[in-house]
Amino acid sequence: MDINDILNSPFTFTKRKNFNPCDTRPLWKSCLIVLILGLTGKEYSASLKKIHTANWIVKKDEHLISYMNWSGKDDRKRPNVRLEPAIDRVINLLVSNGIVTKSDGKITLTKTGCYLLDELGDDTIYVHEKNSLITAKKYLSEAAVKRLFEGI
Amino acid sequence: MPITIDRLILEANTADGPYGLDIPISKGLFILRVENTHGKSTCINSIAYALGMEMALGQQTSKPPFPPSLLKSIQNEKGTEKTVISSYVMLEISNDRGQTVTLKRNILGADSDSIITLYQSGINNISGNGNNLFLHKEGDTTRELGFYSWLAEFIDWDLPLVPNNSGKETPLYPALLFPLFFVEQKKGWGSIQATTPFHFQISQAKKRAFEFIMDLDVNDIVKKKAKNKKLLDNALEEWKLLYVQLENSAIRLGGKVNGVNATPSAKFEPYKLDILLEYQEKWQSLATALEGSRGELTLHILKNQPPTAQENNENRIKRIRELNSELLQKENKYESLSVELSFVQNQVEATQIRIENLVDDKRKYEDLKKVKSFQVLNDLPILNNECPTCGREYSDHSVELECSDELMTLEESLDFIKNQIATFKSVLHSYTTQLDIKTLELSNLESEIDHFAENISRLKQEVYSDSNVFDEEYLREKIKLENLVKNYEEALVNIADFRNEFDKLYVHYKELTRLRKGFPEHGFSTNDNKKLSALQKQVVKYLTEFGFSSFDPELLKISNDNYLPTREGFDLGFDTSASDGIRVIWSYLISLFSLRVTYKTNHPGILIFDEPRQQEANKLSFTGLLKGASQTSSTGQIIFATSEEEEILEKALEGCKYTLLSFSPTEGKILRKLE
Repeated sequence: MDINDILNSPFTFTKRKNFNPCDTRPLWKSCLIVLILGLTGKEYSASLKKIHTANWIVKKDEHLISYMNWSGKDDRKRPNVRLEPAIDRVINLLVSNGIVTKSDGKITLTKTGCYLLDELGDDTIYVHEKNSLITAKKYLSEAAVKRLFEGI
Repeated sequence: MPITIDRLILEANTADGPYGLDIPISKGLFILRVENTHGKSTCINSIAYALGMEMALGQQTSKPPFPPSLLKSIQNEKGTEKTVISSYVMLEISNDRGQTVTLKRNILGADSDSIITLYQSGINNISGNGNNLFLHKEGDTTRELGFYSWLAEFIDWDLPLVPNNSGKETPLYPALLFPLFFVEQKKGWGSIQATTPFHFQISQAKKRAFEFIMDLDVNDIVKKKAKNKKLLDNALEEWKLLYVQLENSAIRLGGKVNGVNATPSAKFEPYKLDILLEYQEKWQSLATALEGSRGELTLHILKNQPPTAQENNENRIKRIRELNSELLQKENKYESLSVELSFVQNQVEATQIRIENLVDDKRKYEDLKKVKSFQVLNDLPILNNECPTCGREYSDHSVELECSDELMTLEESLDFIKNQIATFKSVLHSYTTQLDIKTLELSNLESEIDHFAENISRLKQEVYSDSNVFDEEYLREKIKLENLVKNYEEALVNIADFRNEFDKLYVHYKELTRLRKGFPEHGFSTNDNKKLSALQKQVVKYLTEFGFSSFDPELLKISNDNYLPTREGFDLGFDTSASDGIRVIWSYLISLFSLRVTYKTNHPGILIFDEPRQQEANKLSFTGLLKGASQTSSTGQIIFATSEEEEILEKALEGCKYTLLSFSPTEGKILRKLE
């Protein structure tokens, strides 16, 4: 049956704009990386693997719990960390904006990055992410991250 | 509160004898005129160093901020290098309580990075060894022998505890406050508070420093808000607990709660609170059910007691068949109800997960909205999704930067999420209502089935037993009705108590929400708003006086978010020329300095500027700015180090009060051999 017969009057379709979840927005992800470097990095610096791990941890509470249960010790409980390709793209954006620098496999906050980190210190924003990072901080050393990917 | 710097001594010991300088510094506007590269910044930085503030000079380490002349070797008049064996700085300062002290700190020598020696007198009257105060170690702001703890006490500062990045509280280090009254030559003129150190890991350090220096109530209000929130949370918790108790009472009777929710709503009428019971296949109030049950009991008793065990077995068997058929129907109903209940439970769980995800996404979008207003991002291409290399715009989707589909904007996404949340909440409400009703129906059905099964079993026993027994069925029914009436009566009394409790809690809750509404929007008290608007007025006044020309100074506002000057909500970054940027910093800091006369602030009444190094072609003359400083400096001390010609300074400041200490270029560098 033809749709015109059913409606019996002229009509148009309007395509709604696409909705994307906030954590796919480059700026949101950028700020998360700045927080990862600022809160868990050594002297505001961290390896790419550590950033990926921290990004995975903040995604869900279950991830944080699973990471804390492993906490660099029990190889049987080693979590399966998913690497997100978007992270690499966002890091490149941050480098070209002068917020971080990349050298010797380390990503480090610049002075502008530190200013951004200071602004992100606002107690009302990224609250959940900050709490997860602070909880996991102790177990997020570069050595622990290396063990996470290579086994104990 | 105000402190004054009275004298500065710098000394470097060499094999050739001591080199150095001795500068008496007076109150009011004090101008130190020294040629460029002749030791001007060394003098100014040594003040910061003696006060333990080298971290606030824009350097990341605590190494002394001095040239080789104080650290390695110094030139004599003939230009020969003499090795420095040791060097130190001495600073005489006084406060408004009449205390005068001298601080001595080694620049080259033992413990230069961690000890400042305190003498309880001016430089001329020093005797004895003085007290050693430690710094840059844990406890330097809290312990008695910590230097910053002493400094805070000397200035009469009560340093507050502020949140750090680890979610704990830490004292507000004085080095964070220093850039609000000290402008360093190289990095200090980049922006307001440009040299604020970051390594203390204090969140929003610049804001916290400003709030303390201006003595804003905003922190108190934030604390009061937190207390109110805690009380509200407690009230909600109590309400919930009470509701659960009421619900349990209802469940015991096989009924449901009516007239009150698990959380307090806008309106609460105690007399509407009730337990609804399924009575005669209708949901009726407890009072009605009680009345009905009492009636049933009376009727039952009034009915003549049937002759004891007269019916024959046939009748009993017939009754058993009837009961069996009814039981089968009930069991079928029970099964289909169980399937429905399990479906509704799944739906409730799925909807709850969906709502949780939506709320989380909403929170993230709200965070992103705040991030977009950050000043630090104003000049960066990332804010507008522009490629910094080719300037092309990329999609706002990190998974697919080349995506050509039109994406929702931030606002549209937020609206979309809010609508979705509202929709799913109403769906959840409908499912939970269904769930409650079905659970209750199922439980009632369970009791009915049990009752039928019991009756059947009893009748079967009676068929095969002696028939000369008292009619048990009659008695059972009577006891059941009596128990029911008793339970209903008890519940009715309990409901009166519940009404009372809920009503009290509701009044308390209402009062707390009323208080919450009364808190100022940004957390600023009336006094805070007065201070901020006075600051804005003063900055605009100075900028007009100092010839600010990038735009009309009247358009300038002091942001309530970060307390910095903004234009139409945006940072001044690109809107101002370099020289106007300096005018803004100058006006802002002098305004902060001058506000202490009219309002109670924590400003130490001292302001130190080291003139920036500028390109000769477009050099900004500070003479105009100094006039303003001279007028306001009478209540404190403003120290300005410059390389401006002496005659120009004297001409510009004609009729103004100031003290000028000028070192002639012909006499060479100011660190000279001492007699």
